[in-house]
Amino acid sequence: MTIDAKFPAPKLPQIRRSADSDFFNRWARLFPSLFIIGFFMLAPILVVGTYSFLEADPYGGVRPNYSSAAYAQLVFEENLDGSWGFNPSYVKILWRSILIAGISTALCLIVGFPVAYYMARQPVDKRNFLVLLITIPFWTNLLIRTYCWILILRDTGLVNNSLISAGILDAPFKMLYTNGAILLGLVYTFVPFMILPIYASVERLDLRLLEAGHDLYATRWQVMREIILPLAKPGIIAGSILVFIPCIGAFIAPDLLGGSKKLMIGSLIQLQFSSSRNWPFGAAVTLVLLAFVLIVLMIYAMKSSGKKDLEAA
Amino acid sequence: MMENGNGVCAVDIQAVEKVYHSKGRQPVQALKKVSLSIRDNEFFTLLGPSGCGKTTLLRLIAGFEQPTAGEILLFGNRIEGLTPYSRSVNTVFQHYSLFPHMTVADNIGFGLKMLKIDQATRDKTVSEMLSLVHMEDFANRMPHQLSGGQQQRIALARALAPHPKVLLLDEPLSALDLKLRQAMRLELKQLQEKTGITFVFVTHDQEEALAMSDRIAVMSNGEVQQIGTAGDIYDRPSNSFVADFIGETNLIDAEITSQAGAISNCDFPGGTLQAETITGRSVSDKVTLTLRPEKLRLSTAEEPEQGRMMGHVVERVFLGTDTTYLVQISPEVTLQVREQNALPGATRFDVGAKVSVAAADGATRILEG
Repeated sequence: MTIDAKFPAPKLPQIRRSADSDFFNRWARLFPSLFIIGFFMLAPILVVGTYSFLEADPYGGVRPNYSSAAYAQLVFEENLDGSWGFNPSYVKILWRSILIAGISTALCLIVGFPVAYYMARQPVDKRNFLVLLITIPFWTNLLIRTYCWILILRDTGLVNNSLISAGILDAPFKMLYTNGAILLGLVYTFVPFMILPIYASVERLDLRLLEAGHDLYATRWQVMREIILPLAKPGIIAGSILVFIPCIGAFIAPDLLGGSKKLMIGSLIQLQFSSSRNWPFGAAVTLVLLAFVLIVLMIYAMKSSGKKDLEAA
Repeated sequence: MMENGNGVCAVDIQAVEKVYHSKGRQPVQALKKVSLSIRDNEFFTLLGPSGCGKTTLLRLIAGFEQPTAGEILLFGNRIEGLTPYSRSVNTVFQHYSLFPHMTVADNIGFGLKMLKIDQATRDKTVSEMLSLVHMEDFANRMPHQLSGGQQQRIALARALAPHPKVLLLDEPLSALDLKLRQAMRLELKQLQEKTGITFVFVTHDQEEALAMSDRIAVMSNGEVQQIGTAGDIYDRPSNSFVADFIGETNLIDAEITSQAGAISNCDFPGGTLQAETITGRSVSDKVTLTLRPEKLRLSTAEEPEQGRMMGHVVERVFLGTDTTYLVQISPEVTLQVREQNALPGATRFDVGAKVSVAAADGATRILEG
């Protein structure tokens, strides 16, 4: 403290803050972010929420009367005699959607990880070129790309015609309008969202760690399992979230490739706003789906933060 | 060479060459016909400036790269084509390369786990290793929670845990600060003696090499310049590269004017010095002499005498324990002289002072190369 006495701190000009400027500092600077979150995220959800509690207008749109019929419709149906009975069909659609989205995510991971790993291990200049290649499909409209798959998969499509003219098949093999076609469409659409985050995490990987692993008697497979996969985990998780969430609400691929019999929840929602003209029901399904996704993400967030606490302890 | 005075050869390197080819560039010859034998239980150092091929040689032994030509034998067995994970050789990496997602204990146990050693044995070895490197309390830390010196110890423990036959150390101390580096030198040497494992240590730091090694191979330009004990290499350098690289030295171009049996008289501008005769160098041959600065003495004596040269101080540098003088004895020759400061009242010579320089007996050596 003797030093302090000899060399007192230079007196800095004191800035007096009034309560007003405090308020300004706090809120005005946050305004752009608050505006974007409020206007582009919360407002639409509020509109959807409001609509879900209104009466449907058979000509489209809603009537301004409170009704919880939309939510009841999710699990119950009105029987002919006017009583209400359990109706599992929408729950089944939700379950099917979760299942198909889950399988698609797993397939994206299986396809995407080796691709991402290969890309990340290339020389730097080649890597950037490969990332560009991955983004090429985005340059064309998704609808057009999905129609192309119809041309490829249908009974008189590219695959069947070639196999038949090559003499491998006698009759066309049914590919279009199957679950397989939906999965193919979803994986095709969303695999770049799996590849890019995994690529980013593998690219950062210190290759010397792999040498260290080999030096400590780990075979190539063991190095993959013990070192590469754990360190690529953030990328794998980010990719899985980025694939699973849009998959569960997707409707273009299920509609075009799965046909009308293989309804998924995204198509169901889309139908309510178009041909079925039941906006409140569409809004209710949307909110249920949103809630489901939020719960899944929250469970994940809680698990991973709990793990960090454990590590810190 | 399979056998020698000390028993079996741990690592035998026979005429190993390594050429790196890269697209659009001249191939680089990193190693040129290197042959050397490392004995069992030896602390062997590969010493040389960066780019001399010492790390390449280490990577060949570890198996990260394959030699272009030649053989490497590990305890008499060829290891050509064996992957790094099938060689009982472990490496301490320059940047430690601890696995960031594993605890200290898991890092140390990694090698044993890969070798499918059971959990109980593994736990026992891990705690042994932790106490060997004095890090018992750190078993459950993550690597990023450790300081550089602590990470270094864990890297060492991790490499020692599977009890390798040979431990390779790739400039493991270079990232530490001076004090820690000096402490780790002693510790490494003790660890090598305690474990009896053959250490192959790569460094560019000659002090490190001299302090720890049983034997040193000095390398330059992909070739081994000299192999010997620290004393051998310091006192009897075989060529001007070694003489210059290890410690400080005066290199003087001279000519042999007469030889009397074991003694050659070498003349150079400003003086004459006597050195031990070496084979292949006779009267009127041009030679290079090496003379360590600490083996020269300054005085004010004026009478000419054998091995005494007259000159004047052109520069004085105070170094704490010593003072280094630059003494010009002729327009061509300036000698570096190192005087200890320990003695009270030791004469200090000022710049410009007229002094005489005397070389200790046997201090002058003729270089072979």
